[in-house]
Amino acid sequence: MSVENKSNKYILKKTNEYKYLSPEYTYYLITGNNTKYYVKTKSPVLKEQLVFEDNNEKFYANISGTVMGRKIFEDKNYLVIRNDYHEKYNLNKTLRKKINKLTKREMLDILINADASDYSSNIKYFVNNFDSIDSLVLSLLICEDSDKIYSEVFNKYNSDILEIFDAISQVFEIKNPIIILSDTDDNNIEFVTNLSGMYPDIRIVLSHDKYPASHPLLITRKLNLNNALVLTSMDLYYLYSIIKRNKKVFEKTIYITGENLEFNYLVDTKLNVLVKDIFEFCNIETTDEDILCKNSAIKAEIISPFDIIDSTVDSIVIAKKTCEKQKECINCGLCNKYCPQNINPQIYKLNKKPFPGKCIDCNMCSYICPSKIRKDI
Amino acid sequence: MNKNFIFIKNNNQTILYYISFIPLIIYGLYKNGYLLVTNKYLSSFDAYKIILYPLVCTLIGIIFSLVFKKRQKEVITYALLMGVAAPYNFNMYLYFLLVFSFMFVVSFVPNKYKVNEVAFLITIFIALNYFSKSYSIFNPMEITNKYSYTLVDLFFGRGASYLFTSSIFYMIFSYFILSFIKTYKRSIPVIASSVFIILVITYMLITKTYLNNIKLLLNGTTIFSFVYLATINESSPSTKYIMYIYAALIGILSFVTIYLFDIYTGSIISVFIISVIYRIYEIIRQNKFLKNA
Repeated sequence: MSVENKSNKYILKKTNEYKYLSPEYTYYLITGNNTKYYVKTKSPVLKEQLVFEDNNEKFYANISGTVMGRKIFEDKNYLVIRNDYHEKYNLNKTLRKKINKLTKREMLDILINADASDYSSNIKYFVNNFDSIDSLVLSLLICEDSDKIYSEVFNKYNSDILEIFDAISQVFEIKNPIIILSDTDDNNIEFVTNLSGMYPDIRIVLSHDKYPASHPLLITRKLNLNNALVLTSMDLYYLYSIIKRNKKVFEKTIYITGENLEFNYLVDTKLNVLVKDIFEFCNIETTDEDILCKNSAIKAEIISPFDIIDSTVDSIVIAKKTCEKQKECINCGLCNKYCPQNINPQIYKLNKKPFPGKCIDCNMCSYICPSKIRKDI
Repeated sequence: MNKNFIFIKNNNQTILYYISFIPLIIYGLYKNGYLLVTNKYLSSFDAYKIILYPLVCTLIGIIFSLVFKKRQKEVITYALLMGVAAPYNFNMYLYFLLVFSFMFVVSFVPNKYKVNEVAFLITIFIALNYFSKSYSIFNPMEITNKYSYTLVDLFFGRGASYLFTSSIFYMIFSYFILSFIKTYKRSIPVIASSVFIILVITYMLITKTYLNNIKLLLNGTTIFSFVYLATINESSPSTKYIMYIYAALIGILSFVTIYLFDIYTGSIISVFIISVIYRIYEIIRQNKFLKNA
């Protein structure tokens, strides 16, 4: 059982494209765990220069400019770099040719040296478990409006994404590379089918796109795959930048949507900029009634305007805050009916402990509940 | 991290539930009001008093929902159902008093021990009547001429039953409206009535008593108890397979109780009995889970 979460109003909305590639400031979150600084306040930095290490993670400047020192927003500590708008690179790197001729070891070294695992959990899983992966699935399913980012990114960089997808499949000897698309995504279906001759190993699957069909577990179950990894077009965009362009990822595309927005926004932005700055740049106005959801309105992971755009933020949904209180359970059974894992969330609450490995955290039960009961409270 | 602020929209479909009663109430007014007046069994004033049953009962429900502020929509719905399934020949004021007292007592029962409240109230009436013979569900026209319905009459709902529950034709229409409600358990009436119909037809073919059994099949009270009473969310299962078993058991027990008692009470008693069994099962299951937790 699944739910249609797309209104025609959203689909018919125009998408405006913006480029926010020269922000005045970029921000780097400091957690304060074993932080080691490589720059001083007021000192100049080059693009791709190592700025600091925090919690064993390396942070590189994604603009050239001046270190402005630390700044606190909503209890979060950021290191701020001011742009000099010169984009001076630390190193000059060239495009790699014929990436499908690289050996497994070479490609893996490139990924490890570029800290590719930091960009997404899928890439991290791939780097750690590439030997056990039999099937690689590129998911372009649009189950809710925020998922359109994956389709839009594929639409924009389709030949690059297919090139890296094919190269990875060949180099790591993946038996079963598959692209799964929404059966309503006409543009991408046309493109993929036209190029299917160039990449004969890649299988194309069309699927319905009702929430939560895009969940990796449900995709692998639908395709009857074992040892499969489901990647998004954003993951492949990161991999393309790292492997083919031979550089770290400092830019990405994000999608901003919302019921009350006149347009949808597709924004090419630098990483490590404040959400608030992007909204100001695109003239998006929000009120206190609005909440910003990261990547999915149904999962509703809330972010603040003072959070930064990092590699995990693919889309932002502006939704109205619901003030309705939780009511008593009316035993309607909708949570159980719509649960893709056939869990009875009433037992979940009663038992007061999660079903290990069973709940996929799609949040469908909370979303569908007429009594507004939240699964995790 | 704050989570789960978003909920699906347009899930407030309670209004559809109330709309589903309109055909039943209109037909009830026609059968127990207009026909009696035109046949000079009652005065106009007395006949149209029956509209007070659903109205006053709903008012009682609204009062309780405002006072206790718990399960507000459900309390109003139960009260309306009590008004719809009122017997004809019973003192109206006493009925309202009994409904009020019953709802007052029930509102103190913890949710954990709640059974099907509407079926419970009607079962109390049935039990009282069994001993006292104080009322009958037939209207004056039916008392004088109660077995004169033809099969066509029965199919279009012109059979004896509670005030607003006689027409299976309109009941099917109400089910169609109710099936648009997301929280309505639409599989229960389908399974329960399928099991019931199969059993009655089998019995009919074995015993070769066609007319009486067809009357059983076309009885509005049975369909009313399947469509409205058995599907009350609070006293019916929420998981798929238990819901199917629950519905099938109601169908089987209705078949048994209809022959044991009569066609106007059997299905309501069976809904009550199965809701009690389900509640016992649910208490045992919850205790088991809490022990394991």
